[in-house]
Amino acid sequence: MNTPRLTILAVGTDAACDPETGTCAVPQATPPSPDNSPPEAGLPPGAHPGPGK
Amino acid sequence: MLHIDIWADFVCPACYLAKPRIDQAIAASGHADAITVTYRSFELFPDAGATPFDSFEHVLHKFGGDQAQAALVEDHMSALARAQGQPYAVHHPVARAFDAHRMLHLATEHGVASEFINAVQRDLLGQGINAYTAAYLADAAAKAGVPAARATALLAGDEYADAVRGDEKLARELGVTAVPFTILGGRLAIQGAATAGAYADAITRALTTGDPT
Repeated sequence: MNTPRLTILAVGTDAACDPETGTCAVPQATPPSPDNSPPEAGLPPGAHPGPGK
Repeated sequence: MLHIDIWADFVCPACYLAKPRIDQAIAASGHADAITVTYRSFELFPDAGATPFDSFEHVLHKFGGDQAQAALVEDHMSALARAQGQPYAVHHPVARAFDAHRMLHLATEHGVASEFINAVQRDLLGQGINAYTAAYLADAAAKAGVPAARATALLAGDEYADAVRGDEKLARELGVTAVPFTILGGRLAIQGAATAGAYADAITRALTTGDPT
């Protein structure tokens, strides 16, 4: 598969995992914290952050 | 014809939620026979060791030790899973999943990737079973339909290691920032676990127009 030019669809999601942290976020359950960056930062609702480095 | 590529990890709860939704959307499309799916490897914890650690401890760490916050996230994940008939173990093991992904490619070779993913995620995320061991993977692959001798041979070597790394390289090139990451028709992408309806709409759009705009 060649690297395609993608159109990211703006659809509602309810969980997602972040490739950078390995953390999976459920936006409705993760209110912002002044002490911790929300693990879902930069992710659509429902996405799960990636590798836990 | 429509081809769908899905990057996911076995230990990714969002991927666990998305899998049956995508399956449902394909089945309901009326064009299931014209849709093919490739399950691509993505490791959320590529640097993890062979000895599992508790997923909840990882979540807790990410929330700075805030038990209530971590429990809230995991309780919500659990509720989402239960709502669609999937068990969810808040405490599930996390370890190096490279061999599981190599086995996924072997399962793909034998046309049983979907069955293999379902079984591993049901055990790992649904029951908290250590699904990273060679014994587990060989058994799960065989039950999914991979010839037992092939599964055992894979675990003894490095077969499909390049395929796993290739999938992950492509994900980096695509700029994947969240998994599951789904590409429909090579052009339309969904990041994260969408609803079955959203996947259905995307399938319809990709089938009928092939136009991402």
